[in-house]
Amino acid sequence: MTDELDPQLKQLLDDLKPVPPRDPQRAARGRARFLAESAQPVSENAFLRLINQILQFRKERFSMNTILTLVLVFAALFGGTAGTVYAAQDALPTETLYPVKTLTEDLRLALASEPEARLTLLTDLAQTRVEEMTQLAQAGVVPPEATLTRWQEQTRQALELAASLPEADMLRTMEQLRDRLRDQLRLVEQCAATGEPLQTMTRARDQLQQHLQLLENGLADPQGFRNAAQNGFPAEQPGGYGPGNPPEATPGSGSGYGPGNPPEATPGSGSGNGPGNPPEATPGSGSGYGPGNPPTATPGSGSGNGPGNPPEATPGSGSGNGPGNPPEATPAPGGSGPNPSPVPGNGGGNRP
Amino acid sequence: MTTDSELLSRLARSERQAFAEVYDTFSPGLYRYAYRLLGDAETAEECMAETFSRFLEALRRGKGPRDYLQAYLYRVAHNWITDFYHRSPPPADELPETQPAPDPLPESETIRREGQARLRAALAQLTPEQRQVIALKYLEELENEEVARILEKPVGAVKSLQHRALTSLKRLLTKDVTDDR
Repeated sequence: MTDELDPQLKQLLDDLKPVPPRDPQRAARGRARFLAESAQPVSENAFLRLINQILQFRKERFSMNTILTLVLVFAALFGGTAGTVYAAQDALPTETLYPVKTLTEDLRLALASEPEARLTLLTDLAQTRVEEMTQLAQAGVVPPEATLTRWQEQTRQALELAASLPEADMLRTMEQLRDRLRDQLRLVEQCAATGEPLQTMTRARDQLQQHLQLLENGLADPQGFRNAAQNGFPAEQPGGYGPGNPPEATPGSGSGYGPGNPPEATPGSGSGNGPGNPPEATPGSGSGYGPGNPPTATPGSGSGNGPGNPPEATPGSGSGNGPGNPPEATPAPGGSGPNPSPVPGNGGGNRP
Repeated sequence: MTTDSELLSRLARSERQAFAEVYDTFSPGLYRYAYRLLGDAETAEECMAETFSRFLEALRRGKGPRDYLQAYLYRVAHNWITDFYHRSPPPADELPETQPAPDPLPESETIRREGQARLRAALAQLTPEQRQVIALKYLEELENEEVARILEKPVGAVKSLQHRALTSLKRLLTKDVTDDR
């Protein structure tokens, strides 16, 4: 892997470097505003802040020490060293050290008890799974089924956790998750554009589209999202995206919290939390979620514990509550219960 | 020279001079970073204001950075820019605001500005992490270790990310040129 740039790209990047001098008046105003803001009294007193910082520090140290100890014991048992554990963090699913990586992740998850920290971790891990799959696919290696499964599980857990938050937090988290899923979808699509489509990647792409649809629907209908989560987001069923499933299936159509797709609906991308697709339709998976906060609590978009995303993000116009199955449709295993008041919706795909 | 940990301790004690030092030390670099990615002075100022405001808010909540201030502030600015791109992706056909060069050759200047707009539009299509790694490494010219600190990833992971980001960027730019024909 080299850092060398091709000359054309280097020229383009160099052209972006010059920055006109900052307007001194604006700069002075910005500085004055910041200093004025910093002088404002804070809502909690300094003592409480200090306690908070100490507790946070202690908790982190405990967590990291515990994790490190356990992982080092594991590594020692298997003939490894601290270096092995560190090196494992970059391992890909096909590499020997990968189990050390997933063990470390599992330990971190086990120790993340607070919902916010857990959500952050789950979304970061899901992102890592997608990156692993795309790296393998770009190298022409089919990503192992287990990696996709792990991603599905981490995604599902994050979605369920989001649904358990108070409404304002849930909506904010869903927006963050949606942004993160969009990034993941972009990665997968970038990958698809560079080589032969692999079945695993096609499935990942379809599911990402479904998850995005699920979140769009959830942002329009938070209670529906909660209901769906209580009944369990449906997982992808074995064989649900078999070779016969057309990869070009229209994403998102007829998705929603309604009872699902009608028997003749195009299988695949239509996500839903309803009772599921009828037996003869290829079932679609329907769970999604997204991004989280970076470990050091950087406030900001889709990845921060601070002020977070601006509230202006609105659900896309293409989402809606699906029309649902006819009453006689048999619920697929794992499908969640019917929406108590299914609303006929627009269907439609993800917004760009 | 004041280290980040000293500065952070003084911030925790709400020393006014420490806040001024943070602003004076980090705002020029952050402004350049924001301007390069956003291509507009006013939006870059907005990014700066929000970055420092979020930083204060985090401090008040007992959160915020515990060690590397610069890395933390770059992350906040980057998150703001990511949000901004989600709200309004930069169009490739819009010329960016720049001050005129002292003696510009109109045609070459036009070509240069078009190139800038095209590159910004392509950067906006990358994932946030890919965009961040390109901006930090090739626009801000930071070392891999510094980029790793900002991204909170191992250096090896940053190199892989960088490789993927460059591949995607080249593909997007090539596609852009092909589409123009």
